[in-house]
Amino acid sequence: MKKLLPTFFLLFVIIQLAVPLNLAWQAEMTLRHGTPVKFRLELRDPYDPFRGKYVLLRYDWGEPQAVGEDAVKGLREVLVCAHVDIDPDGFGTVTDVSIQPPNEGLWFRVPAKTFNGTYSLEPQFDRYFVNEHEAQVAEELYFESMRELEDDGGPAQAQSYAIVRLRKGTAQLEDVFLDERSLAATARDHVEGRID
Amino acid sequence: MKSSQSRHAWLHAQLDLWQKEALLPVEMAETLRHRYPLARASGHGSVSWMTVILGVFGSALIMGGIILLFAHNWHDIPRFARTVISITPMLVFQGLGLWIVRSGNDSAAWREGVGMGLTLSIGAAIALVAQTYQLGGDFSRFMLVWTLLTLPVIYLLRAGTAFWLYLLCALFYAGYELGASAQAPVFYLLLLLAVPFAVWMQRMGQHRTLALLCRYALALAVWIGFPMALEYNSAGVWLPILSCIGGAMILWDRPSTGRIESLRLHPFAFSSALVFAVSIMVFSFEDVWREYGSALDATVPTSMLLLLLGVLAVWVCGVVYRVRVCDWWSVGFGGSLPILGFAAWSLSGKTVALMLATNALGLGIGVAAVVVALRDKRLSLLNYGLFLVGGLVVLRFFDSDLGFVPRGLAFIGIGIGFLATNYFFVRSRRSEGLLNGDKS
Repeated sequence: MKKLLPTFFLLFVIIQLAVPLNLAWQAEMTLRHGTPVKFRLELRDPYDPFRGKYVLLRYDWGEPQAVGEDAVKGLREVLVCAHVDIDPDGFGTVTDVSIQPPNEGLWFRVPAKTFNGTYSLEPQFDRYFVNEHEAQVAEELYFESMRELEDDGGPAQAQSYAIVRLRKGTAQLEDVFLDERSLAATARDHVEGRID
Repeated sequence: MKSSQSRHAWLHAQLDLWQKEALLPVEMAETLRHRYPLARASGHGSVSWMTVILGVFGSALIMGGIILLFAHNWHDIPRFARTVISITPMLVFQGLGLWIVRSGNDSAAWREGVGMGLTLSIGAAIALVAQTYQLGGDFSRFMLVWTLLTLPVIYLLRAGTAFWLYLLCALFYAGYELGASAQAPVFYLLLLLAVPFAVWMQRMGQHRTLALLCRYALALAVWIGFPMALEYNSAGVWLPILSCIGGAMILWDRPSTGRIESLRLHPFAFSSALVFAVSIMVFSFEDVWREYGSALDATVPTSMLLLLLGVLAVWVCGVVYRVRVCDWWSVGFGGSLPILGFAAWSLSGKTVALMLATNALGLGIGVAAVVVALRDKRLSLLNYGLFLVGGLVVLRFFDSDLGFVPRGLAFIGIGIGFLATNYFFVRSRRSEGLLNGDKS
């Protein structure tokens, strides 16, 4: 039995390595080969003790309805397939959801809370990790941009969106943009004094 | 259960005797001594606590530092490089772990240090890869994966620190999934997977303090985790389930004679006795029974019924075992808890009767503990009995359902009882010259 211990250990080493490497591989494949979609969003700045600072992303999806017989009765938590339509500017909207994957079109799996056929989507790509000095700046930039829009008499919604890559039901966040510039890059420029 | 080391020690003492009495040739005695060696008092294989603490603390600090360094989020480093850097600490600790397993290194400092480092680095690797690829993820799933990946570290490295972290992760999982009925059985399974390690550590006989701490951690995880996992969706069955668990732990965590060296060396019985005392005090109020009754539901989930049947079976076996060895104190103590739990579950509307039964049971157990303690000269049991009775009485001070006169008389009566107990105990121990020592 003692002779087998190193073999067992090696086996578990492989399993332990496989978990983070598989995460990285899946994400890398989606980033390289996925279809880019822009989703409008709002931003906030919380903190994760393990992974550092991040900007919390709130997607502007409303509460899509389920397709036909897929509607779930009562209050439940389910994994659904969100169907996505893209407009000519590349912005995506979630049109409806289904329990079974659709045969065609763009879609991704997403956990959702449902109440009598109306779904509130809770995507797992809702965190944009940034450098610890830049998270606060990113949030301030967002609110500043929102205030400027209000002053101009426009709708109080900053032009912020996320680029998410979709591939075979997988969604992978690529970058977050504020007024057509990468949020992380803009925040970095502010922190390093390149922009006031 | 005697450990192998204590058996070896006994054999060595007997060999010396047999050799002296010329019952055994010197060569044969030497051969037997080599075959059944004693652990050396120091050096290789022994627990040098300072070394273990420093090893564990060092690993924890290194991993904490690495996590903080990466949490800074280095944008300038490419994704691939960040992924490699994220898993590097895990690879280093895995290499060290493999070296320990292959070389058969029995140094507790190495095993504990590497166990702690590897456990933390597994969590860090997953979290940092998730940061690199902007994966928000699901916290409970992260905790579950981390817990499961830690399991082999515990067994293969025999690392108590990894065991504690494993239980902590499992508790976080149970806490985060509070109320999610689907996840509760997973938590029970995680606890079940940890039990053999605690038993194994105890049976090995080496590193007794570490083994004891592991059992304490497991007992604590049971008493924190089960109520969390059972809080919702249990339709009131949590009371009989928890009382069966407590009863079973009291019945099983004792030597077959029922006599124990010290209650502190029996974490499951010790923690259950404490939980029992506190629960009795809480449920000695009628309002608490009323609230419990209002939360009861006629439809009990099947998973809850299965769990109840499982713990009930363990408890019944415990009662039968204690009856067979005529350990009546354990039968009364560990056996009464689930009976009250089941009574409460089936008689939810009769709150006054339940309140009276709880007080009677608490007082009965408390007085019985005092009587047994006085008979056997066991100070810790005496303290427990007095704590239970005293607690129940003091709480009546806040019980507005009782009049001032009965409460006043009860206080005076119990106060006299306390003084009398103290007097008899001190006199009896002084007469035996045991005042500065204690059996239990």
